[in-house]
Amino acid sequence: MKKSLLSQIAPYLLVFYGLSLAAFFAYALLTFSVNQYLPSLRMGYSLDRAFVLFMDYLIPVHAAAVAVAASLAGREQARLGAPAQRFSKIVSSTLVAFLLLTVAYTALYEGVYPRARARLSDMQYQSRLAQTYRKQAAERTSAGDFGAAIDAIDLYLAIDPGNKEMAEQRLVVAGKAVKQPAPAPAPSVEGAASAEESAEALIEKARSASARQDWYSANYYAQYAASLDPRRADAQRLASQAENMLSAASGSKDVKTSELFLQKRQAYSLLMSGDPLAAYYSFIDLAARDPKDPDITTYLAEASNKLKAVTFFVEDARKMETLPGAQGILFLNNNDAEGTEAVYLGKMVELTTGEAYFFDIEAIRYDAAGAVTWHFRAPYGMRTSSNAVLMHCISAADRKIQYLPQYLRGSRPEGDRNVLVMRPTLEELRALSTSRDALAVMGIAELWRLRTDLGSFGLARQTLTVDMAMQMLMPFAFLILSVLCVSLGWAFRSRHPGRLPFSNVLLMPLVPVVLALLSLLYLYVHRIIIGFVVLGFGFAVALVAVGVLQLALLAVALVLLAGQSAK
Amino acid sequence: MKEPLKAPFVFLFILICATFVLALLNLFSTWGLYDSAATPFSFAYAVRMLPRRIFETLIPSVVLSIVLIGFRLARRPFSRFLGLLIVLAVSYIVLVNGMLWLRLPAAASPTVAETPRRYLAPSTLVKVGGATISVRAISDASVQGILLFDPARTPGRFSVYAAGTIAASAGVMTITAAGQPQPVISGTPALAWTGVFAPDRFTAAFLRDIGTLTADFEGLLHGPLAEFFAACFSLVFLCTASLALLRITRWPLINIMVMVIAARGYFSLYHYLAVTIAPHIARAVTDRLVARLFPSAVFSALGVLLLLLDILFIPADRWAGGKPA
Repeated sequence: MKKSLLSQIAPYLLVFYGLSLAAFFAYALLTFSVNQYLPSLRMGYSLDRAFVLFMDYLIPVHAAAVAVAASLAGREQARLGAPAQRFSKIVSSTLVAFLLLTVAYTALYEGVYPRARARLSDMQYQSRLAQTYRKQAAERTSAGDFGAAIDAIDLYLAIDPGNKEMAEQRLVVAGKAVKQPAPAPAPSVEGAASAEESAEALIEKARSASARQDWYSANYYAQYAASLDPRRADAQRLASQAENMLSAASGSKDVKTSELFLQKRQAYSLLMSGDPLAAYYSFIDLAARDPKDPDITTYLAEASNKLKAVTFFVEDARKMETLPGAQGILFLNNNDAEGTEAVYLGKMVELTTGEAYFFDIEAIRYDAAGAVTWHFRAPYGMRTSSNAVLMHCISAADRKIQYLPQYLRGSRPEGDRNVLVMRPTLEELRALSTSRDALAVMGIAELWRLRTDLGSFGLARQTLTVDMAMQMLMPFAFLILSVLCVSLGWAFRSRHPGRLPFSNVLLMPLVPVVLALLSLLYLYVHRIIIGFVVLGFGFAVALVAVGVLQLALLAVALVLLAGQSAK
Repeated sequence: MKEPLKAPFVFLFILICATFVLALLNLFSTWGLYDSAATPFSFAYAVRMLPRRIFETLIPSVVLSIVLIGFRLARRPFSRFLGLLIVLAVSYIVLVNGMLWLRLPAAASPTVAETPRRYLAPSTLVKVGGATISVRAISDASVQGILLFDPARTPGRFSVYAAGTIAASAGVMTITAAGQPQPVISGTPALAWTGVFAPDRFTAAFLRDIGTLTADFEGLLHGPLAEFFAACFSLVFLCTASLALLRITRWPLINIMVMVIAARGYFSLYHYLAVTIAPHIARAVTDRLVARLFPSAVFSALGVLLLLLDILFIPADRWAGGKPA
């Protein structure tokens, strides 16, 4: 044989890979559903779907290419009349190539494949969301609420920016909206002071403010310092002095200024009395009247900062809603002798800062006797860097808009009512999604790390373990079936000395079809064995059993390969 | 002349290996699906369950063995009619005797009980139809602390029931919660135990087809044995006649693919004939025998066609004749 087996297999691999990718792409393009996906996603969907299908069926496609190539390689040898070489020499480079291909397959399977699946799921969710916004826009337009209609259209266009029909609709609705009074835009809130300051530093700031005759700041910092360290009499003295100066100042201006001063003082009092929400809206109103007032700017930022500890803005949440994220998350948050807490999250959108927004939240707690302690629903939630999820959602501009958890049964203490502490991390929440093939898009390393914890959140631990073991098995299956198919093709190589008859070429697609069925059976046999060992003897034994089995199968495959004759 | 003498023994060896492997896999999945929650796996358990497992895997083992011996006959050909007779006779004897002799020990094997524990483990979320449930505790027929999550329910999708009764039958789990009115949660669960052994859809269809064939043959064992003999013969005759497919072209790899897809197709064909067509036949004809043996009759007819194809069109030495020098 003049050429190595590898040089004869490589073109077949390329052709089979290319043809299967093209076939899967055509299939994805033809089965694209405009009811499920936005038409603008057709190409992205088709590419991702084709890749997912390609990865799903890569093992049989690869095996078929190898078997056909090996089967036809002997034919060429006969045609050339070349003297036979040792078979080991013919296949040695092929084995090395298989090892490299296995590494590439593993990288694709672990790295690219999960992302493609996640993207498909996100496309479906975003399409559904876009349809909702489109419907909302139509309803609001019909109702004559053009401002809300524009909001809905903008949210739609954030998902589907190239939609000309919606862009034109926006122009029409915007034209109508001009005739309606627009709500005042929310002032930007910047320059908020840090909450993590020492009493000493705060007193210094209070002194400095006193020197500038900035009595609000002096009072604010002094009170803040006194609250941090009640033993600091100097802080209390400074606060009192500033308070007196403020009281004296309130009567010394003209009527308009005096009124503004009084309102500032009221807003400031609200802030200091621990009602940042009311203070925030008061400062918002004041900022609309006098946006350049340094006191208003400073304390609006301060109120906003304090608000962030207990609430968040619905405008931010709605912007996040259009972004991709895990959906349908269901888990047992707490499950102990006293009771069980179950949580459902319609959608989660993660931010790079470690925060996350949640949509359509529902949670329930019941005791060991099955009596419901509390049960609520909340439209929005935001998780800060801690595990607490805030569910009190407000509008940045409109004090009438406010979303709170709605308690369907029972209640919780005032301080806890609008907060839910969730045990799972964001990474774990992603895995607990029921609607995005959550486990299928997870890599082996992720599954390995999370499987024990995920079990405590209500997922079946055995299933997780078996799924993980099956993922670990795939590269071995790829390699072993590759070697077995060389033997199969070589042992049953074509007896046609000349050109392959057309009927044979016509039957060639049978090879990947049959090998797909056989490879699925091969994997199912492994699933039974792994499932049996996991249930009967635990994960560690299963790991050893899988390792031994794969070594044995690889050895058998190599022995079969070595047993082939070059003649 | 050695090969015809060796063939029956090679066939028997392949059959024993295939039966052993398939029965073992069947035993593993049966234990995992039905008994793992209550009974630890032991040698005694395996011995008790094995006769039934062998009985259930005998038909696919015989078909698989015929396909595998076909590879050998194609590589080392001798008289095709002698080969056909040997394979037909040995496989028929093994299938008929195997099912007859295993019938009683298989019946004595403990039947796999479909207990609710198979579907539910405490504090685990389990999908039942469109809903998801979890229980705090489960005993044989009762559950405590039932949590139901039904996405279609309003205003709250979660419901909790203090206690209830639970039953499982034919893959459907039913929980009847205590209280008035008694809420009933019923559906096919998809959960830990079944999830562990859940096959892909192609394998699931294959297993379903094998199940139909085995159940029908088992049913025939309870009636006149002549019907059972006829059914067994039709199956092994069709499979043996299909060995001609291994010589249909001069490219053995393609022949093997055709043979494998044909063998797989026979199971689907039987399922289609027995489940979809046979009831229509039963309504159209008064003779019950015709309806019962209709799938077998189709198999026999197909076998005869393949035999004719072999005799008339396929050279006996197709592999050897074109072998490269």
